[in-house]
Amino acid sequence: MLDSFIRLLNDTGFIHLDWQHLLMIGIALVLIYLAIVKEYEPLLLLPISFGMLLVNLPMAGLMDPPATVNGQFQPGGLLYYLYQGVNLGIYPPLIFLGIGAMTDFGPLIANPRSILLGASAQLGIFTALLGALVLNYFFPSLGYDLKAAGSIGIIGGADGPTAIFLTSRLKPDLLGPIAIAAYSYMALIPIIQPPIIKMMTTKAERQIVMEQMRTVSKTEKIIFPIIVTIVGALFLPSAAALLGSLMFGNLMRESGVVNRLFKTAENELINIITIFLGLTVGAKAKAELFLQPSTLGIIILGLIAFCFSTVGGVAFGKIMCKVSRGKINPMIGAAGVSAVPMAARVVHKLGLEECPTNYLLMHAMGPNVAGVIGSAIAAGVLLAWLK
Amino acid sequence: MANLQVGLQLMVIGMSLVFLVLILLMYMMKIMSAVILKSTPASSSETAAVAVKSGNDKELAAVMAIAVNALEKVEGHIQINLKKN
Repeated sequence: MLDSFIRLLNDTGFIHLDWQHLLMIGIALVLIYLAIVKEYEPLLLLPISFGMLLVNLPMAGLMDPPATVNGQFQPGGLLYYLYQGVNLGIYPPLIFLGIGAMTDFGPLIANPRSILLGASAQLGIFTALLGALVLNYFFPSLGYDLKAAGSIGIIGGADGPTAIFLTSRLKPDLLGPIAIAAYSYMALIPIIQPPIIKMMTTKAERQIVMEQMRTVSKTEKIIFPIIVTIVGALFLPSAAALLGSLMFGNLMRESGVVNRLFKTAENELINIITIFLGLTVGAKAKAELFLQPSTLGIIILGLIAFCFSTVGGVAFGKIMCKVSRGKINPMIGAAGVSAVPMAARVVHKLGLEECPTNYLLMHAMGPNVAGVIGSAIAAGVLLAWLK
Repeated sequence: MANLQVGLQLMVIGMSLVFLVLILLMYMMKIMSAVILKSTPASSSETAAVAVKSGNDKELAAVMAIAVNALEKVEGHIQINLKKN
């Protein structure tokens, strides 16, 4: 009887808890607090932090692969099977499908030049990539090879599904810290961007009032996703999954003939995939993978990535302002960082601060949605080069 | 060191490729919009221009209502934003 009791005791998680598990559980609880109380990107941070909590409870085996023990087949853990959607690159394109169904590309179609701001704001991706390699040159113990650098760099795209898609392909071990860094910094955009924007622009530039945009026809909105899919996928086949899903979702929205499908993509589909994606990405943050010096490097480089993306966008915005002879407010370049619609709202708020009648929101939405396309293209480049 | 060189190459070529694809998209969007707007019926705008010249507000309002109605049948809901000169 005593043997049975000891065996039962050995099977509990308490016996196997060590300081690393406790630390990770603590971090998970802090992230849960940030998600619920501070509302930092709760739709993804809550599932991610809960997945992190679950995987760091010893003996639960939620991420264990299937195994044969004493000749008997033992199935894998629940999260192991759900994670296959990330591993096989299924969930991020489905999230993009839902995002496409929720996005109005009208402001971008009305002002096609704003797509260039979406391109320039991807500077942070390549800056962070280079930063990771420089850091690794001085601190080789970080272990940042090219694939790791590419995965870290994509944080600068400020696009969660893209970051998860690329990292799961290039460096799955870093998926946990990269996803957490990406979503945490996205939530901090209202704090990160304003000082950079104010530093890079003059008061006169910030006060520029832009002309009202033209109305975009339904036909344009229908043809746009088809053109983007064809051009994008032909140039970068590796970006086809993300771009194609984004544009298909948008086409369902704009066509007006598949409302049932569009509503499902916009609601049920994206909600279900968000739960699975968040939980399983968080479950990659096991103590032995997360508590490494490389995680600290990811957190620092992630911030650098976001800052340089903003710098890139505003710098190009200033160029466009000069070329257009003051018709374009350079602040909208900061909205090229594809955290939709947060970056656009930050720009709009700064515009109102400088001039209470300056409504920049719709002008900023153009670069904002262009940034989603830009980050998918950048991810395609990195995937094609580094895989 | 080799990785740093690859990183620099990736930065230059990567940003160039992103710009190239998006510039191409920009021009395709402009062409698309030009073609579609050109093929939109012009008669309603011509009628409105006549009403503007005559200075008759009631007539202008009636013409605009007819024009909007005709366009909505083709293009869906339209929102009109008026500017004061």
